[in-house]
Amino acid sequence: MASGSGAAAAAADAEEKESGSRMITLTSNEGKAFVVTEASARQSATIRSMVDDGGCVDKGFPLPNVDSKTLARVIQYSDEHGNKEPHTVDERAALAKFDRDFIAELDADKAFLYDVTMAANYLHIQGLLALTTQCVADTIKGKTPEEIRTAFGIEYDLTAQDEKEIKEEDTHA
Amino acid sequence: MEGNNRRSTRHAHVEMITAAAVQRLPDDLLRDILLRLPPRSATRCLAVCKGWRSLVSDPSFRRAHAERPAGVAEADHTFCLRQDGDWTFQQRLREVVWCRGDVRKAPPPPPPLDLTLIPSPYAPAATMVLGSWDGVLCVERGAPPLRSLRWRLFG
Repeated sequence: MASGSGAAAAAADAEEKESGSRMITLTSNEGKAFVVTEASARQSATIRSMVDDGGCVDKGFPLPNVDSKTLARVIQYSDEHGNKEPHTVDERAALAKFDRDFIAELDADKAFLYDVTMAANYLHIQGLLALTTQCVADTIKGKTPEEIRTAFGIEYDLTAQDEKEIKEEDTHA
Repeated sequence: MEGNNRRSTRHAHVEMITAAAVQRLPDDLLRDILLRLPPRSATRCLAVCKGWRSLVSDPSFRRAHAERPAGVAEADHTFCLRQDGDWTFQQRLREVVWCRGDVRKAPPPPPPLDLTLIPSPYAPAATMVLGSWDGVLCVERGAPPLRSLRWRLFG
C-alpha cells in the first residue's frame, strides 16, 4: 500500500517534471519570493544546472545579486519564452513582437536596462542577454568617440601618446 | 522658456543616472556589447577612453570580433513593364547571415527585406542595389556604359 502510493507520487512527480508544471521559488535580494514554473526558471542556465544537480528545489533559490524590480522584469521575459514553445509562424511572430516591445520599454530607462542586462548575465539567460546587449550596442553604433563619452558619462583619460597612435590608425584605416 | 529649462535639468539628471549605471557594467559584459558592433563602430571605440581602448585593442577581442556572424544580403532584381510602357526594377534584398567562425553558433537567418530605392534624379531606372556585406550596402548608379559603384553603410 505504502509503496504503491509512493510509486504513484513518483509517477505524478515525473509527469509534473515532464510538463514543466513543477513550481520553483526565486527570492530577490530584498527577500521577496517569486513563484514560477520550472519551464520558466529553466530559461536560466544557472538555475537549470542547480535543478538538474538535484539542488534545493523545495527550499527555493535565493538570488542575492538581483533586486525585486529587476527580477520581476526578468521573470516576465522567461515566462513568455519558457511557458509556451512557439510552433506556428503566428506564434513565433507574437514572440518576436513581445521581444520588440519588451526591449523598447527597457530602452527608455537605461539605468534599468543595465540592471536587467546584469541579471541576465548572472542568471545566464542567453536570449535575454542577447536582446539587452544588442540594445546597448545599438546606442553606441554610429556615434563618434565624443558622443559615446557624453552618452555614457565617460571621462577622457587618453594620453598624448594614445592620441598620436589613434591619428596613425586613422590614416591607415 | 522656463519649461525648456526644467526639461533640460531633468534631462541632465537622467544622463547622470545613466552614467553612474554604465560604470557598473563589468568588463566581460562591456566586451559582449562591443563585440556586437559593426567594424567601423568598434574601431571608434578605440578613441573613447583608456578602458575601452585596451578592451578593443586586445588581440582576443579582435579575434572574437572577426569570428562574429556577418549580415549578408543578396539582391534579386526583376524587370517590370510599367503601366506607362517604361521598364522598372523591382528589388528584393534577401538577408542571410554568414558565420565566419563556428557554423554551429550561427543564429537563424533574418527574414527577407523588401527595399524601396530612392531613384537618382540623373538616372532613375539605373539605381540598383547589388548587395550588402557586414553593414556595407553596395549600390550601383548611372546607366551603362558609365558605371560607378557606391558603398554605403546599411543598418
